[in-house]
Amino acid sequence: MKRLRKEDLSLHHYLRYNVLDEYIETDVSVPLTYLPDISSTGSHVYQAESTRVPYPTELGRGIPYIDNYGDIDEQQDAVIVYDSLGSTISGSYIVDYIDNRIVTSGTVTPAAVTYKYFYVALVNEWEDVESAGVPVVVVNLESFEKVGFQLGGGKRVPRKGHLHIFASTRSERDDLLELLYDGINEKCCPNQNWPQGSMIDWDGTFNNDYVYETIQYSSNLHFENVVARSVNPPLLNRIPSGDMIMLSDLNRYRARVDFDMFYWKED
Amino acid sequence: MVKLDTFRLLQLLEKIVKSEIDSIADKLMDRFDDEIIPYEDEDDPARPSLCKEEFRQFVIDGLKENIKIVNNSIEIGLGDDKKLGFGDELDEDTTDCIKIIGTILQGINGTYVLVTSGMTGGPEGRFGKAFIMPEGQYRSEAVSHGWDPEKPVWKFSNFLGLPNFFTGLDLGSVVKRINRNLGEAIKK
Repeated sequence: MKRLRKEDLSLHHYLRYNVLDEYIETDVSVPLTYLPDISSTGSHVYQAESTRVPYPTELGRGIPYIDNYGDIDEQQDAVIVYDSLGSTISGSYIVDYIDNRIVTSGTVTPAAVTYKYFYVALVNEWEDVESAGVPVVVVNLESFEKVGFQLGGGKRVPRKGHLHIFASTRSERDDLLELLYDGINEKCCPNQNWPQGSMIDWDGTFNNDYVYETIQYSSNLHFENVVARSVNPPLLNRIPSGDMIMLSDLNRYRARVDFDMFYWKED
Repeated sequence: MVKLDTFRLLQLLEKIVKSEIDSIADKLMDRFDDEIIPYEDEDDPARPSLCKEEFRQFVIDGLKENIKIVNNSIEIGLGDDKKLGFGDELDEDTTDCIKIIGTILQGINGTYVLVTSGMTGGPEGRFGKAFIMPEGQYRSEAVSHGWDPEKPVWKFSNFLGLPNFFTGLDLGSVVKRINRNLGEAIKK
């Protein structure tokens, strides 16, 4: 994994679990539907059929993999699976975090699930906003220029970053704006090395080989010059005749947090 | 040796910085050429290059109002936030060109059609009272309003915007000149 990607992942992980964790919701007793087509002997797959809007597993959302920021083991509190009698099933299943599924070996028959999920979507691409649906935060990190910072071989590596907020109401936007501003202003986060990849495996399950390690000879990721402001694209705000329907809600309640992110490295 | 109090010195500096407004605006317009013009569609009747002079004047007017002595320094404000779409209060008392450029700077998510006087028959402004509509909505409503349902989508649809447009401007040469002029003014 390249250094740039590691920084992106570190920032994403920090925002997700240490800032936007205030927006974790719980979907209670969601029915599970057996999926025979993708099940096999020893692998029984059940799909959680949520009726929530936005859908809990939409792009950028999903179930938390860990209980608290800094944890390295899979969550224990975010998912509770029940059988048809309403009794809790423990330990006899795995969670597919990408598709919101429960997978068992066939020894138990799950019927419903209660799980936590991130209400605010966090995505990396501007183009993903429509797929994710509001509220959504786009993380946009720009290229960098490495500059010497002291006598010796060290470098200060700065990058410009922006968090674009798309909300469903003015109050939600203002709340997210303040939350994100406070979350990074005069703060820093670990610059992780991700030696065994991210917390999620290719199949959507928790990566049990995940290792927490920071990059050697490198500082934390620091945030500075953090500026928060609301955004109103001028062309959006007026429709001349009353008989037209309303404009896209997507761009209606927007805001932006601009910041510089930097770290020092010694090589 | 000439002795000046801080306020007098700042007044001198303010005057000199104001004499460089055109140069600062030119630097910004270089960025306009580099970062906005390449995206435009040459066939678009509302393309940003047609707005260039108007935007330059807008920048100059903003600079005239926003070069001020604040505490012990000179503060230079670029652009009028309320007209460009920053903040909660949007000042719509401006030209369509400024609205178009402001929207380009802020970015827009989704695919839109820019509706102009050519389509509405509206008399106001250079392009009429410009506004944008989601493409799907436009296609469904165009016929009933007598507009061209095949109008191409706005070139700047689904566009991240230019969040750094007003920041990090390379004013090295301007600052050098300001320093030199300030030195000369102090000697006088």
